[in-house]
Amino acid sequence: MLSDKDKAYYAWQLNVPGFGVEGQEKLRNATALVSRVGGLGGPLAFSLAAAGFGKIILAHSGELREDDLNRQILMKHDGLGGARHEQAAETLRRFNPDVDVESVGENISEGNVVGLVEQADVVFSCAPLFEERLLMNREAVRQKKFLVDGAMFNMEGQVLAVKGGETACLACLVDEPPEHWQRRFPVIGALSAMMAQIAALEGIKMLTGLGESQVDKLIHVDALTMNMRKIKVRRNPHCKHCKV
Amino acid sequence: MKIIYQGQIGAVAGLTSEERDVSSDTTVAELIAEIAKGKPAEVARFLVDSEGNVSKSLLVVVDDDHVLDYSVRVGDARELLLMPPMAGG
Repeated sequence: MLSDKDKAYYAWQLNVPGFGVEGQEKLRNATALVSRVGGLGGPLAFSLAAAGFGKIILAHSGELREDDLNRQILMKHDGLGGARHEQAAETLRRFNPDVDVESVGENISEGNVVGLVEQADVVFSCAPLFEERLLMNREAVRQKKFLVDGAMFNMEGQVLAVKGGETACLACLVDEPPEHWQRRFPVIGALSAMMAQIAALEGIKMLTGLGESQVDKLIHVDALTMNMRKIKVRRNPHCKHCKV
Repeated sequence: MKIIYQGQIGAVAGLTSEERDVSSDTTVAELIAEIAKGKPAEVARFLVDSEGNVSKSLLVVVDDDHVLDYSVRVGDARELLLMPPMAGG
């Protein structure tokens, strides 16, 4: 049951047709894992906190650098040199104290992925390395969890929503880190934030049943032209993670 | 047929799309190999591997449909979109 406080706090979204009290209760009872909380995961986690998720787990190692600040909006300029996961968690707690925010000062690895995904109802995959993304995908598929993978390069971005074990997964498209991908990629923060909002909405939709989840589609946005494609994808019979 | 280059391919090629005359009985693999032949090595390496086969990490999309079987013929398709996977986060 939603408390009177929650009903007042989330009044504007309770009026969204198809969402309502039932949708809010699902979010209130849900845990999201967000890895990492930079240009994509930061604004994404912000929107999850605003929407009223019960718990958000942030996983991100390392300290804030000056060149992070064109896009990592959960951070603070006077936090340069400080731990990113702590700053991100502090921002979210100040924004919405009713959300349980847990931060982990580690990136996703073979050593922590099983336990972190086990705690989550939905995994938001926002790391700049395929190694981390594929670990999260593997576990989300194995544990039959929801996963939303968001990514960008230059002025393009994409989002893939996955119902683990039921729909096409990241490994159906790419099953090992591509040789030519580089850790540092060109991006304007507004593009990261735009893709973050699409990814957040797809996660909310899968959890609450609102609208049509865009599973089995790769949403691709070219921000130079503002063209959006929905590329039909299908489960790969040879997929290393979810083979049919 | 419109060939669309997205992600790193478009950035390296400095080209987002081009029109090509393509016979309907050409397979997707043949078309990608032909495209790669006409591109500089820094672009071609995203399209094909050292043996000339379609690169394992290339996303191949025909008329907004992800293609897994490159032996299919292009038929009357209007667009071929080529994109390496991206992970910027």
